Amino acid sequence: MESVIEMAAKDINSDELENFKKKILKKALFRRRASKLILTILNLFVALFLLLPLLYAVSIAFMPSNELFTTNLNLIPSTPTFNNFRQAMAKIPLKRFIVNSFVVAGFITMGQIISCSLAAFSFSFLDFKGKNVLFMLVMATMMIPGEATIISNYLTVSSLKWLDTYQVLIIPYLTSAMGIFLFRQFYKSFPISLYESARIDGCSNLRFIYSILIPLTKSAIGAMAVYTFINAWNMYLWPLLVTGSDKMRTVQIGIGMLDSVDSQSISMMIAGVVMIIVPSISVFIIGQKQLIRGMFSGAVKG
Amino acid sequence: MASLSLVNVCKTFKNGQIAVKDFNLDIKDEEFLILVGPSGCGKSTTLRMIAGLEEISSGELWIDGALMNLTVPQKRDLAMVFQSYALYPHLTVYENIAFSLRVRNIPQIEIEERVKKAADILCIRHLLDRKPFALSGGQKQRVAIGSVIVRKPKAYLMDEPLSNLDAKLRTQMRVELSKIHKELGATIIYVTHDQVEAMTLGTKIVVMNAGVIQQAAPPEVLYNNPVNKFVAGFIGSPSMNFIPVWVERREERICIVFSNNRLFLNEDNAHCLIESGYLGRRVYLGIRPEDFHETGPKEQAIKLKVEIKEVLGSDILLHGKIGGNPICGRLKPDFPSEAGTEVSIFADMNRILLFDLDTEENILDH
Repeated sequence: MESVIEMAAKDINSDELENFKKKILKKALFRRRASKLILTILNLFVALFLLLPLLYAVSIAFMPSNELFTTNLNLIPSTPTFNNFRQAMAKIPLKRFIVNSFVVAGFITMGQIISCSLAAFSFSFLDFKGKNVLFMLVMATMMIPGEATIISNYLTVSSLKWLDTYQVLIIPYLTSAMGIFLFRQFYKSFPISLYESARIDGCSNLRFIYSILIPLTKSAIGAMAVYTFINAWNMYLWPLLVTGSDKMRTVQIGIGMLDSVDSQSISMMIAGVVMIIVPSISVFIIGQKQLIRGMFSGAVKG
Repeated sequence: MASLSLVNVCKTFKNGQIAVKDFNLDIKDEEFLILVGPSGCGKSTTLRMIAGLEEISSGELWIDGALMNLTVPQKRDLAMVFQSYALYPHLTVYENIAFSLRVRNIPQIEIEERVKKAADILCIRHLLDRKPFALSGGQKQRVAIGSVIVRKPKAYLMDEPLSNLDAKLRTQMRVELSKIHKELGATIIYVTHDQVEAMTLGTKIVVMNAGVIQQAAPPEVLYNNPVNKFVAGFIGSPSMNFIPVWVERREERICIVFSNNRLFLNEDNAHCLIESGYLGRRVYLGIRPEDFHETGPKEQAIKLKVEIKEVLGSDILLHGKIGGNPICGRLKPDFPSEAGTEVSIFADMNRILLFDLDTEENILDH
């Protein structure tokens, strides 16, 4: 049977048909390329617009103070300098603060991943009495704002003589209801038959967690790690309250110390800010693939 | 391999729904037992109770003489193939098959030997380095079977393992499962809703409905001598035809009468009906599509108005209605019939079954 195209093509000779096809293909290709180009330009423009404050901050960090305080709009420093960074480093022990923040954020991240994933495992895979009530109780803690408990927490840790130590910064944040909830959501989309199969194969719960569950929920762990690390890095109120010496301060408090009434230098403060956002941005860039995959896992059928 | 016993096993879910009621069954060593029934009849729940994935609400489960009700799945020494294959996606085929052996701390050399042997039986040796995502449905199925046969457990449990395969592959895998059963001398408990699978694979079939065993018997017994209308209708494809009929005495013989048709019973069946007191009462006539013939004695003729004719190649299926009851007959392809015409087909009176109208039990239980 002849197709509709074959029947229509009968009236045209083969050369004309070839030319016609080429013309149509060329037109379609042009349209596709043009729309791609427009989209790329639009994306670049939006990205530039969104990143402008950050890029401007980086630019200021390299700008001498006299260039900043002029009536001209200096977006890019004409004589870039590292002076602001040097001054910031000299004024406060920034290195120590960065190390502290890394230690605190690192331990909090590891602790939350371990505790939240284990708790979420029991809520998703195990069957025990009062499971739902217990989960609701955990979720209910999310409704209590941190500020409401901060004084009682302070009194507790001070009675334990923990003030101005690493454990006071780490231990209260070793688990989180949000983390348990996120992991439980990831595990809900995990095929239960794999767990049942592993159990029949003779696998214990712990072995199942480390040899099956963890490798298969890497994206969830990655997402959780990035989210927790950035949150822990950005902690302000609690470290401010429980640390007193430079030895234990974290970077967010340190930045506050750069601002002094007597000799305020915006470019030096911005240089400090730029230095402390580098680690959190790096964590985000390294983990962004996992973060996005983790955020949307289970959203569509795999 | 092992023998299993289920004694008065019941399963009631938290919401009060009864999934399995008074399940009593002995599964002998090396038996290929099939649990078959419509969706929701409790066959998978029974299998999961045997595996230890569901708690037994009441009753006893014995495996090789040991009470297993409270034993955790890891310690029952059973292996299970899941409908969804349950392959670990991050492990290669080799690692998937070897997983249960690694968990049991079996030496590496033995693991390698056993994995390769299982792979040879299932013809998947060339796939050992692949990950599950790079396998077709049939290959995944083989790997799933490989990961259980590698272990030599007390019994193999299979939960609709072929239901995700296409028709051709299913037939092929059926043959292979049969071979594996013979080669390994394994005790297999197999759940399916496909009665063709049940008939071809099982040495014993348990037909379940609404959580209750209807009949447990070898395939040929189920086909020829079902205990009730449910089993008769469930086993066989296309399923048995049922027509409500009157049992009457005419011309000194016992016959069944329905919608201007009259069929004389053979002496054995007539005697059985009289003895059971069914004369003058209504019963269900059950006749399989393949028990209709193109020719026969006039007294066995039934008039059927053909509504649909299905050509299968080797046979034809004629669909019509007698007294409002749907009727299907399987006849030879050269039988002259067209949709819309009336044809005479002949019932094999030695193959018919009669069921009580109320209890639906087989009256002619041979």
